[in-house]
Amino acid sequence: MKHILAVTRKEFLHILRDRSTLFLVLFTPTLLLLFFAYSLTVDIQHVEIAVLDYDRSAASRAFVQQITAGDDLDLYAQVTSFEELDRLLLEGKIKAALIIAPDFSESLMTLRGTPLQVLIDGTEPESGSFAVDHIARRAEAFVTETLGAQLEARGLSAASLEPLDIRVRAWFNPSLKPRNDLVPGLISMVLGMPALSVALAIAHEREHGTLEQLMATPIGRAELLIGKIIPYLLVGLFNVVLMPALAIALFHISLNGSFLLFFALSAVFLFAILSMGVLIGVFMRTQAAALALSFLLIFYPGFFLTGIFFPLASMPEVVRLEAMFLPGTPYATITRGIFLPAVGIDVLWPYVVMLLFQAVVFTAVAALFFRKKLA
Amino acid sequence: MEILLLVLAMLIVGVIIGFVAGLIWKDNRPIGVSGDYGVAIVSAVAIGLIDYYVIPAMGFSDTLKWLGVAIEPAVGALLILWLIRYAKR
Repeated sequence: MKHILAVTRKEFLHILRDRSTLFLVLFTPTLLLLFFAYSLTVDIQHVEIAVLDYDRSAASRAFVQQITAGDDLDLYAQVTSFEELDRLLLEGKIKAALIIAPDFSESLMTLRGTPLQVLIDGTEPESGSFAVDHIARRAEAFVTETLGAQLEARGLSAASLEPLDIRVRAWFNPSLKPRNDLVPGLISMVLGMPALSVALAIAHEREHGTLEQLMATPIGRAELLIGKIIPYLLVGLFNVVLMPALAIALFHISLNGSFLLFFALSAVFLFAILSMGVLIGVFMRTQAAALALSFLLIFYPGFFLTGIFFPLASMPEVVRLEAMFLPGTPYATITRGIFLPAVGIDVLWPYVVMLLFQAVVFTAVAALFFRKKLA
Repeated sequence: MEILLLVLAMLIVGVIIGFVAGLIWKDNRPIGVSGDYGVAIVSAVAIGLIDYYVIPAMGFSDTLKWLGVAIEPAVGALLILWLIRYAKR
């Protein structure tokens, strides 16, 4: 018993003194619980939609009000032109759009089967399908309420008549093939791999005492960190060329946007993610701890918070914003934006600003703490 | 005009944080008084601009934008000043 207590005491002291172990033991379960709870709950709510109402009648206004009455669909904007609608879909600000025909009220009252067009963002099919389902359900309720007496008098039901003819078109991914959306998203995840290597390389040097030897040379700490990053950056850039080539050749995914833009923004992403890797390497004393933290901060968010596997619409807005502070999230938006809707820098600039901000912050903090943590 | 007002507001936030840093860490000024004010002002302006322009451009609501502008420049500047002190300790 005495021996067990001695070992237990020693292990407790180890956990308390080694802050990286303390962090992993204390906070990893909390972080994982938050990741999983927010991302695995695929309870989609608050899907942003826009409405283009060509009819502008009392009936169409009542219809729009009915469609957006609950928590499921939020009216982001009521636009006046198709170009505005196009822009909102392209910028990813809405996931679906409803177009009401000019003769909506007239056709509705005469039970002529009013065509109603719904456009969905094919890059996030789950949210689009959700919007279509809910619009159809609300439309049926609206028709039953509006035309209830009329239908009853004729001995008909709204379901048997289908007075609204809802036509759905998916933009950016017309066939709605999951692979078209998945592969560009996956590229953003796999390109983060060099960050793991750089974190392990720094932790390895520290563990084996070779970092002290390097620090004893005239090399400055910034030079040392930059020198550590450059090889991984070059390997990462090689993959930036290889990954789209594989996606096109093997999976028949088309790169609709500019490759040069993709390459340039991938370089910014690599800078940000490698800086994060360096930061992890600077703070973690052992390779095992660096590996665990890299998985926690680089790969888990990539899986759960980027919208690749789980729709972003199922997460609270604050969580989506916090996820933007991890390099994988803005970069996933960039890759999917360039591959599918072929958006340019005019749409992607906020994500680039986020990546540059992260790169600067991670590099500055890593440089600030490099010598201190070594001591 | 809008951007000028924002920068002016963030300059004031930076000055206040620089002053508050002196109250919190009285005898601990590793980068000097002017360094504290400089870092606080630059941080507050940079974070304020990012919150004001980038958050809505990514499709987030105005509520989050204003929440960010109201809280993050002050907290961010204070955090940076603390990080500098912690690293230089």
